[in-house]
Amino acid sequence: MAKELADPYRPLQRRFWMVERVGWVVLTLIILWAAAGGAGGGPLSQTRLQGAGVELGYDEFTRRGARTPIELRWPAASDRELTVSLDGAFVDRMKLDFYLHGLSPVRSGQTVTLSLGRPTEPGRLVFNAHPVEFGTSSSEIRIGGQPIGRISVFVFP
Amino acid sequence: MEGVLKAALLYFVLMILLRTIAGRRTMGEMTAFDLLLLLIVGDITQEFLVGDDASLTGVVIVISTFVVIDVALSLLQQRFTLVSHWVEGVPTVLCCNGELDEEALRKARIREDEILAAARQSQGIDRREDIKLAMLEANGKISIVPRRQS
Repeated sequence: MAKELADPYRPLQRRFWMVERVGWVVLTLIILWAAAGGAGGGPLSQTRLQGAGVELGYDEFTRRGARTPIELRWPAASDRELTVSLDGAFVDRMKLDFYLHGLSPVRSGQTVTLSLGRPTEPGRLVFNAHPVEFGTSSSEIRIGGQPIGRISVFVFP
Repeated sequence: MEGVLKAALLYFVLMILLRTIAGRRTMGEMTAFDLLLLLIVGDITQEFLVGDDASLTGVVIVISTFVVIDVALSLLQQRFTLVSHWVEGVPTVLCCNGELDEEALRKARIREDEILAAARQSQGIDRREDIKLAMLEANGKISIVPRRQS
């Protein structure tokens, strides 16, 4: 009782302490979410698309400006020309870097097509994206002209 | 526009993280490591704030935003006590007439020996019983009122 009288701010202080502890919980959840890849680079964000003899691995979530690898894997040799087509808007928004591998994408209308030649053995290529705008960016993926699905990436600010 | 929004957002995020969530003790008792952490925080936030824009105009916009928010907040604190309490915090009684307030110690993350250290340093008191009042001030420091004034 004497302490309560000596500390007129105690009820308010208790509310501050409660806010502080709620903050600790929120920060811990943010750390766990980030460690699990909620903002990219972990199991929560990694996803795969398969079709037409190739596999595409990418992060569904990433952060603006963060290097975001997109992996293209072909498990077998092919006697056909391997081409990958994406929407031009997606390539621009995600700032996809094809030039790292010396590849020259061809832009035709709203589509960007990348030709990887005839693979003589299984292989993989990793492209880096550096998304410039936050929000969802998506594109239909076509391998050899055949759609295999949609790639959709949410970019955190 | 983007610079102003970023600076304003960062001001409030840092205020919530460092003042509201980290607590007064973190800010009041800064160790060399805490200082190092703050330098790292400064370095990280600098990248977010100015990015590629290293122009004088960009820097002036960001600093002006910080100063204006700071002044506006101080005016609000002067006018509304509740705002002042939320932003600055309130003093907390840790020890009254030699009796420790266990709840306050636990919640404020303070040990008895920290109170005794503050008592020794500020009042030359080395016994808890000689403390009339030990308070955690809004700035994170522990102030001591001795039981017998000499």
